[in-house]
Amino acid sequence: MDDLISEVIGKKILALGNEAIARGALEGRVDVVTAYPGTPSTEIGDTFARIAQKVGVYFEWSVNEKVALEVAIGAAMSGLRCMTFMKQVGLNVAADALMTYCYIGHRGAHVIVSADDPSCHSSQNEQDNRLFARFANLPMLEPSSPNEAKEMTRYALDISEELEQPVMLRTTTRICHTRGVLELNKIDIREEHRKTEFIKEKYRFTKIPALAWEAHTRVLDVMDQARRISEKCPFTTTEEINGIDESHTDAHDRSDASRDASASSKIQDGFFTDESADSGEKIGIITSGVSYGHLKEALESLKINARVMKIGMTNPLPDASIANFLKSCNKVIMVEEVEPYLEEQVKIIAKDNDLTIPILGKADGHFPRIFEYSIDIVRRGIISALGLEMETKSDNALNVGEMELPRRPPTLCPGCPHRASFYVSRKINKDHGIYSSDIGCYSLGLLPPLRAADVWVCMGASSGLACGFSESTDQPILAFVGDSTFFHSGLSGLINAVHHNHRFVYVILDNSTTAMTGHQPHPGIPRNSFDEIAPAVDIKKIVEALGITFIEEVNPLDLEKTEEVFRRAMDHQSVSVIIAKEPCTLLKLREMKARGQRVVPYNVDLNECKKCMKCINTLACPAFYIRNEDIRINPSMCSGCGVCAQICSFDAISQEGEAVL
Amino acid sequence: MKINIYLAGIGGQGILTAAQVLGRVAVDNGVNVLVNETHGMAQRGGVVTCNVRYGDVFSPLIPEGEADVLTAFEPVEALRSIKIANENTYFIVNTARIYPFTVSLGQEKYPPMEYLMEKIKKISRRVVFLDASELAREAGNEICTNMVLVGGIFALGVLPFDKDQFITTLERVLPPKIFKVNLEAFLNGNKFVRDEMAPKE
Ligand code: SF4
Ligand code: SF4
Repeated sequence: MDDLISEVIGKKILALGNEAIARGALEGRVDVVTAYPGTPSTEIGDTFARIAQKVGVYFEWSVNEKVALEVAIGAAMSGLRCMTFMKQVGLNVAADALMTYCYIGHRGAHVIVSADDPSCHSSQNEQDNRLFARFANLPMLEPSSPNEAKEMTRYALDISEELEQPVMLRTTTRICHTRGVLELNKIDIREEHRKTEFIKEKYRFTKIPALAWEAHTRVLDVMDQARRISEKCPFTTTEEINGIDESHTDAHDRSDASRDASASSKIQDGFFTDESADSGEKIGIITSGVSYGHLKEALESLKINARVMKIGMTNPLPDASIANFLKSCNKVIMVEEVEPYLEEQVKIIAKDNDLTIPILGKADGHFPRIFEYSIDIVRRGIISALGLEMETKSDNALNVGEMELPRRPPTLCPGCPHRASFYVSRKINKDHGIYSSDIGCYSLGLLPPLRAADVWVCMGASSGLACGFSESTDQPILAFVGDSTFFHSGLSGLINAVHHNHRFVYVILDNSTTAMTGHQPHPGIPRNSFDEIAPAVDIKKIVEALGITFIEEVNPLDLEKTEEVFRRAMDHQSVSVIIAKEPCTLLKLREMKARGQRVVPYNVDLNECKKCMKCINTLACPAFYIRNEDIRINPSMCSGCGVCAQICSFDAISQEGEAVL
Repeated sequence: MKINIYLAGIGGQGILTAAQVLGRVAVDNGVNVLVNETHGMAQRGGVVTCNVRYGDVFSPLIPEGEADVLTAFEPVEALRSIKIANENTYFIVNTARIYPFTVSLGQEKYPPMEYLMEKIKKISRRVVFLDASELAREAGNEICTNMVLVGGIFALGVLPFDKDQFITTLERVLPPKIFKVNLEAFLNGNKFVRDEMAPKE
């Protein structure tokens, strides 16, 4: 039995932050869930793909984030309870719908999850979508733990219903990908997902320009109402943290005892002595999200007393509560990741209340504006803000001297068909070609020796960028796009290329899946989010319909044929399309295993190998290794794609190893 | 109480599973826990790290220098994560090496084993090196390398649960088909580390 759909109230389970959000949506009686996969949000959908049908919820992996949002908007306008989730940059894609949606609202409930990625663990930027919430007039909650993520998702649906306004749940990677203990509340298990009737109401959802100002007035009223909710939000808390209180120290801390002792004596030499506590030095700290956990432990280890306000609803802010908090402190430190979102607003609140206490944070350089936070970073920030003279623990960190460790960058899997496509592209165009890339596993084509990614910006951009290169240079141009990304947003750039007669080769790397995020389906394959048969949209037919005069489908693992196709495409006088079609190796291996088939690995004949290094220097399949100058293939890593054998000039590589599973 | 277990290795080594079971045993025994995982790029041969934190913890990440146990699924990864350790940290290090492709392709050098062992021993006296992959093979399947290392952690006596509590959890979470071999691997690792630690402590 899947714990996430357990009906045992009060049961404690261990769950990932993303699973907690899924459970919270169930506890909030969600009807419709939509998304496009994107790290760090994807597991919310992997969870729904597994459970939605068992609990009577409609779920889909939509074609992109904008459509995902729109599907849920339709359902919310019909009166259903909805959730849409996406990674932070996904909200950029959905923004057009979002901005006006916030003007007009809905009749059901709708939580929009934005999973931000400070430190860019798996993203091209670390944008702080809290600014989006403000921009769009979108009420927002920020969880500080997995259990809170669950509770807030439920709460977000409720206030969304009350306000008839979408509500954002803004999480970050370290909430999404942390497992914590959840305490379960009630869920309703239904046979099938709920349906309702869309009720017509004149001009309710059709804001013609003459009425749009009315909608603007509406959203401002909604935000006033939301501010009242924010003042009472149960997730906003104020507490005294007594770092000086020794009672928390226990046996286990002994190993750290010597270090702790030296730290605390230094504090006493510095700013925060007992006298200053007596003289009424009251330090306030305002925080939100995952920083709250870091902060609590930082204060504890620094042995500092402070009053901490954790804000759960961060748009709109509870102005009055914040003003009261500020009045109770002599100085305030702001602890929040990325943008000074709270800091700037708190400064305005202070000004409006004629408060002149110092508000210390990013503006004066105590806290960084880049990267995610940790206990260490928060500790350093507090030390800096309070002007303490002490070393941080991490400065004491072990002195292990210089170490030269080999890096371990991620790379395309052994046998990945993208490697073959990139190999051929480079063989023909070398450094002269411009390689316009996109977002997916194939972004890894960046790495040497393939170096087949000069630019990538955002989902679907490779075709649009290639249009620009085609007008700005006479170099050969190749644009790469994955199948899922093509459907997401690659098509418009290609249409543009046809109409304006831009010239480049558009290579659709069709591996029949959304590989990077863990193999979710997309409209091009005949399976839906639940792995049921579904109508597939044919990429080739779409491209043909655009009137493109060069369209070839080729299996990239056949190098000779692929090279021939690429050469003809490069010579073509207008935009040309190559569909490099071969399933993702991981999928292929999984299917082989399911059928009980075995891979027969390739093998280097050491007698024939002339050690020319061509395979290593041009293909660099990670199944290769060098031992005592000999070039070998690790049979347990080789997927049997055969590309290396086609490259070898001396026929030294062949498929004659023993079959391995 | 705060107990910090750090796991470091490479995608595909079963680190996330190890971390999950280490988390689950806490829930089964009423102990608070936070388990942070690396997802994303990790699948493509990149580094994977997990933070398992028990007790009065609020941050999902172990501060620098505060790991009670550093479990390295691969020797170089022990050194790469060294900042998380202090001189009292227990090190459990799998000696089975996995070369990054940059090394197998001759673009970078993999440090000699002796160098790696030296460096680690210089930091802490509480170090156990073991060929976890071999111990897993002996148990029946190399895939269970992760359970060998978890078994090792349970031999250190730093966790607020004992071996039997863990086995109960393991039986609960694993399908019966693979429970046996995982248990075997766990016991192999547990015995090996216990024997290693015995004379020194
Ligand atoms: S997951 Fe699939 S698409 Fe991605 S690198 Fe591996 S083989 Fe290539
Ligand atoms: S056949 Fe060659 S290129 Fe393909 S996976 Fe095996 S070693 Fe790598």
